[in-house]
Amino acid sequence: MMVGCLMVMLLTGCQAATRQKMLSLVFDGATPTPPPPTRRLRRDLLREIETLQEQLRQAREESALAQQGPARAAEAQTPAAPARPIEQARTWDEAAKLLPSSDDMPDWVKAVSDGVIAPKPGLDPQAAREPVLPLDVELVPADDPTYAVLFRHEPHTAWLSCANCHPAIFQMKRGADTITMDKITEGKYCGVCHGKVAFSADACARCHQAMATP
Amino acid sequence: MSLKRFVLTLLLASLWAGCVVAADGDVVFKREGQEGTTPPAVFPHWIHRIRYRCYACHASLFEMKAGAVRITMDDIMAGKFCGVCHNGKTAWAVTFETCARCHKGQ
Ligand code: HEC
Ligand code: HEC
Ligand code: HEC
Ligand code: HEC
Ligand code: HEC
Ligand code: HEC
Repeated sequence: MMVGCLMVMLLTGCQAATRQKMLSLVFDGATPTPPPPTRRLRRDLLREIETLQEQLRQAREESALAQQGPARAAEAQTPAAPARPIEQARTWDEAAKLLPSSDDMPDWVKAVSDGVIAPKPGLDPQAAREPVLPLDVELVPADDPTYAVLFRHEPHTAWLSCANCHPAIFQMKRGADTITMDKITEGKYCGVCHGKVAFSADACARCHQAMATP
Repeated sequence: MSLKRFVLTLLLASLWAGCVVAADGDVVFKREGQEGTTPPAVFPHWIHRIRYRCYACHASLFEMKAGAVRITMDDIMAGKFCGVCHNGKTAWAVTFETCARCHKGQ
């Protein structure tokens, strides 16, 4: 059904108004009407076609998954909305308004699970995702166990491949590295990413579960 | 180490970082030798994170270390580094209108 609708959308996709109608037929809260086609450049239209083709591909993938079983289909359903509004944002400030946040920073984990973003695994549209590893490792400071950290591989492997961390940043062996807060704020271990690209080291409770305010 | 000292270090670190980093998550490229008139390029991580997972770029296109590799415009025009995508197909191309979109550093 979905695939059919998307096909029609692909054909009528150039007509912004028609597309809007089609989108709101299939999905709740479809994108706001884009500027009239006369004002848009050929490049924009080409890009839109590419986006629609990508959505069509995703829909095909999802329906294939749905035939394989409901559990796997649910897993693949995260990129819910087509033509994600955030990808139309012209500036970072515009995009930031659409992202969920925690501790005054974008919450990237939630952004993915809410379907606000659906970051691609690679440039090739056929590129496959890296496997997600459901392995938790407990890191307990010898002198102060209240600052224990439960390191979860799952949210990390959703973004990163094993080789991004192992062995350059961490050895593949529990407790093999002595990690301290000083080293983290200097940009080592977790601080290679946290405080630069991922949420900052100020958000204590996201790592030290015991520091969470009840 | 006392918590107070730690918080102080953090404060100082963020003040210092504020001078170097353009915005959260950005990488400001440092260019040694021939600074010239073109300001350094700034790579906005967060804009790219909206569309790509880390492993789309790391480590096949870029190291996870600022300044690990020297990037030149010749490389980019030849379809390497930023030029893998900024080619008019995956993302907007390098033209005289777009220099300033990347070259935002001071
Ligand atoms: C990105 C995750 C992360 C964040 C955020 C974080 N920590 Fe830590 N912290 C760690 C890790 C990992 C360890 C080391 C655990 C071990 O012993 O292996 C640690 C250890 C500690 C220790 C033990 C002694 C030491 O200095 O190593 C203290 C105290 C501590 N953190 C306080 C804090 C405070 C206060 C904050 C917030 C300002 C904070 N942490 C934020 C990950 C984090
Ligand atoms: C964000 C960084 C990161 C990524 C990505 C990552 N790991 Fe890890 N891994 C860690 C950390 C941190 C530890 C704990 C190291 C320590 O205690 O010193 C660890 C530990 C391990 C361990 C040892 C567990 C134990 O109980 O001894 C294994 C096995 C492992 N990782 C496998 C993998 C595999 C396989 C992948 C890819 C699917 C992967 N890791 C991706 C950070 C990462
Ligand atoms: C190679 C980069 C990298 C390293 C190293 C790394 N992280 Fe992360 N981490 C990420 C990214 C990316 C996310 C996704 C959220 C974000 O970007 O803010 C994340 C998310 C998290 C989350 C939030 C998970 C959730 O479900 O909300 C925690 C907690 C965390 N990291 C702890 C750690 C700890 C502790 C270490 C060190 C032992 C560590 N990370 C090392 C990149 C990294
Ligand atoms: C579109 C490509 C792209 C994506 C996606 C991307 N990065 Fe990067 N990253 C870069 C570039 C470019 C640099 C700078 C490399 C250089 O200077 O040689 C960089 C540098 C880094 C650095 C080093 C920063 C420093 O100050 O030394 C870290 C850490 C990093 N990236 C982590 C991540 C994490 C974590 C993610 C996913 C949440 C991510 N990157 C996604 C392109 C990307
Ligand atoms: C994996 C593909 C990819 C790579 C590699 C890549 N970019 Fe991008 N970049 C994009 C996409 C897609 C956009 C969003 C284009 C749009 O909004 O039309 C973008 C947007 C940008 C923007 C935002 C411009 C604005 O309008 O605010 C800047 C700046 C930028 N890239 C710089 C760089 C630089 C510098 C590099 C190399 C260090 C780089 N990019 C590498 C895909 C990439
Ligand atoms: C997609 C982003 C991007 C665009 C667009 C772009 N540059 Fe660059 N440029 C870079 C990066 C990344 C570097 C390497 C870091 C640095 O030196 O700032 C670089 C380096 C340079 C350098 C120094 C190294 C060399 O090759 O000589 C000059 C000069 C330069 N750019 C000029 C320009 C001019 C002129 C334009 C417009 C025609 C332009 N750039 C457009 C990303 C870009």
